[in-house]
Amino acid sequence: MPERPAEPTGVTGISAGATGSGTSGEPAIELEGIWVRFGGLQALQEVSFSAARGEVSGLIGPNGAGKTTLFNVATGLQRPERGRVRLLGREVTRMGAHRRCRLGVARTFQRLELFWSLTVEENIRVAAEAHLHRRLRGVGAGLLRGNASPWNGPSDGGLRRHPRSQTTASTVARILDRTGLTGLATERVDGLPTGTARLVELARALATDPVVLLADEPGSGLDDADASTLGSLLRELASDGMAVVLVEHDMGLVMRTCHRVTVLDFGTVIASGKPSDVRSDPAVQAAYLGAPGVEVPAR
Amino acid sequence: MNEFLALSVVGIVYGAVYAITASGLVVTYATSGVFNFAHGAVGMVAAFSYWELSVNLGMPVLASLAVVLLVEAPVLGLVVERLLARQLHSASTERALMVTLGLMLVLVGIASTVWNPETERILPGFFSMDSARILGVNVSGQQMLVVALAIAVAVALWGLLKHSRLGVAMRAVVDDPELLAMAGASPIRVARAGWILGSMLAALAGILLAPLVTLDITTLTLLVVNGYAAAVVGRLKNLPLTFAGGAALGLIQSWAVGYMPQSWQSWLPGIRTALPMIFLFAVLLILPQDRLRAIGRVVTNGVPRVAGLRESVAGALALVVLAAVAGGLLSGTAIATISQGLVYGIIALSLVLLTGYAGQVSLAQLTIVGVGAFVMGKVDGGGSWFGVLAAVVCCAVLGALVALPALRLKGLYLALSTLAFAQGATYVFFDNDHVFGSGGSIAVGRPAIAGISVSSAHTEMTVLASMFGIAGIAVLAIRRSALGRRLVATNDSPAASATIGLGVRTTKLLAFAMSAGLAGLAGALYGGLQGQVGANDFGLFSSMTLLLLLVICGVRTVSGALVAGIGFAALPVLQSHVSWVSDLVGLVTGVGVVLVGRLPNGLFGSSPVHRRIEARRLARVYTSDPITADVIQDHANA
Repeated sequence: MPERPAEPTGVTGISAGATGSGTSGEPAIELEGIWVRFGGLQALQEVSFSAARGEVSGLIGPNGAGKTTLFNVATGLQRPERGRVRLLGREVTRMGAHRRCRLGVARTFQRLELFWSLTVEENIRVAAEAHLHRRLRGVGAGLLRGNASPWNGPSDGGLRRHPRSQTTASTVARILDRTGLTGLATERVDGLPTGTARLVELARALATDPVVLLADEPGSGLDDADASTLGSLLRELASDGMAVVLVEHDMGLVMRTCHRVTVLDFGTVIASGKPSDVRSDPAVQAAYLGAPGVEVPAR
Repeated sequence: MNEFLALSVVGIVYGAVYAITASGLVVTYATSGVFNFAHGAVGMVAAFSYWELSVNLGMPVLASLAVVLLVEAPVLGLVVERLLARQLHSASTERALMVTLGLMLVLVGIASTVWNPETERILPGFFSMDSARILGVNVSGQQMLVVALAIAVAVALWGLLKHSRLGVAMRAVVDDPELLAMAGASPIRVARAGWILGSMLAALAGILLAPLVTLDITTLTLLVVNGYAAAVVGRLKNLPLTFAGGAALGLIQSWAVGYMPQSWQSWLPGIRTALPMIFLFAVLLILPQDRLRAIGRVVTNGVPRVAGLRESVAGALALVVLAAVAGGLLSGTAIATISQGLVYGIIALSLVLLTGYAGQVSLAQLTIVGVGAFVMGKVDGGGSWFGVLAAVVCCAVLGALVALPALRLKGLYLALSTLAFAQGATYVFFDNDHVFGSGGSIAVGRPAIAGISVSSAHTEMTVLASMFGIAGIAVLAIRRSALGRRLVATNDSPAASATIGLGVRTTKLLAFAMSAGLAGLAGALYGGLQGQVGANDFGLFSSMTLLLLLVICGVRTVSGALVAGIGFAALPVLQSHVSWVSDLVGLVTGVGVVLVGRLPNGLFGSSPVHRRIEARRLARVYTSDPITADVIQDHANA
């Protein structure tokens, strides 16, 4: 399969905060030597992983390899036994999920976690509002300190910029438009098909104006055409300056979309690199085909 | 030393019965995932049945025991499993909770219809005469029997769980019902066994308890709170810890009787009775939170549309006009009933905020209302707007304070903690002579409006209708606001809320404070309407009944709150015309909630017609909307 280059698409950014404020290739989130144990099961063992702004990083592996656990560690829903998590160079290992979100981590869930009794629009709005709320707090704190440019809010360590004009309503409208959900805005999400519901989760994550977007199997439940559109959207988001991490079982989507791929198996990293290299890696093939050893005899 | 031993013996005996009832709760919960709030009511029915057979009909003790324990209790467990519990398998914790609370009301209603609560009944112990001296303490035959039975139950349960096929399956189903099904055992059969066993243990505990305390419907039903406490010590799955919890509670209670300082007694006369509630509350807070059964995706097809501002103002105006007009036509009794109903409606509105939107179940709402009425009566002469304001503020603060320790609790444990709070507050606060005086009630007045005092019943009804209207508009406005979305969001998915940056704790705390403030307002109005309020107006059963009525009528709607409130006021009036059944309120509510609870989406969302309409609407949206169609087209082209 041909490798598509990560061309910048120049679409109007959803993530205005991310646009231009980061250099492509700079690691946005770094997980270092992560260990997680559930009872007798070592779910993650000395796993290191990082994702750079401007790139889509794939995270693949057989079921139970520890991908979602790694997401939980990255977002703060699971505390690691050992290891460190850094966000834009800042240590966040002991920080709770909602504070990490304020620093720019957003995610979607493999098992859908939508706000089922709200509409599509409200699902996105509630995230945008939570985000606006803390942005205003940042402004207040900035003004108190006599900060010349309050939008470089000290609450987020001056890491991100926000244009003054951005209001919740326009953010929601823009995200609805970009994810193609405008027509479903007033629908309650509990009636939506799974594929569309996953799109709503993605839209909701974008409403928090993330620097790092962790997408957990966003493609499952989508047909090929929709999956392909999703792939382009993820690449666009990356080219806007976001660090996108994609967990996915659809290998076609992963290979087309990702700039780099990391493979997990039984809680350890077994390969990492460009999609084409990873694909031909014998260890990866063994993990996926279930062969006992790496070396497959030629005879 | 002798006194200590004697107290300890009594404590151990009580503890043994708590342990038996708690082990029944644990067995049922562990095998079916349903926490049976009606467990105590099952024991109560068994104790009364045993009285009926052995005392009233004069059957031999052993035969009566056999009929109750080996026939009635298992059949009851079987019926409940088949008709109720099986439908609750994949239901949310809240729905399971409501249904078993409903079952409790039904059993209490049936019992009070069959056995008139006014009649005094005595249930003798098995060997009331014989006693032996052990270590210098007199131990009666009944006491020895109770302890021996508790030990026998413990040994039998241990044997069953460790060494029988069914027992192994029961232990397996706790871990993973689906896996068990794949291994060839039927989770339904296991759950059925769990309900039968649980019911038998409840019955045994009821029969043993009745001679120790009194053969009274409410007392026996609520004694299960002690069982809840023991079961929570075992975190609803560990039987040895549950037995230890029961024994600990019995001992603490008994020692408190002997050693609690007299000064405490005079200030808080109800403190001893309230000990189990305090124990339960403390255990819930101290023990590490075990993850309760995963709920899975809660079916929310019953979620109604949220009315806009114009719509809600129009509805409120219509209600006020209706009240003003109807007031001239209705009889005094009808006006009084509707006025009461409007106040109950405002209480129900506070539950719409808390339970409907934020998903927090509280069984203590009338406790807060009672505090509101009390504050109203005590502040500024007992009938001013300042008093109303004070009631609202005090209750909001109280609500937040009660919620503060309970913030880490959710679902079932939260409901249990509010139950403990409500019952504890009844014993310590409402029943306390220092609070409502020795007469048991205080006078509360109505605040004047623009200097004119509201004296006629007609005007009062119109005022209350306006108050309900304003409260309704406010509740809907909150739901449409950013705060309302936060309440609903944190209820729907706490994990997703955290990852979009919402603080779950603040949101919960706000929900409790707002809801309690509204309940305080209702309390002030209730006091003004009734003229005087007393200890009996704010009991746990009333809180439960109003909540369940609201669940039947629609826990997320303002109209549901209105209907529930009016119904709560009207049912007792109806009762006075129906003599062949007592406790009509409880029976109607219980049966209603059991019926509604069996349908996964509530009354409306479950009808096939509704499903078809919904499907057609969605299909239309997907194909007819030009933008969506464009998106679909774009996707196809990409």
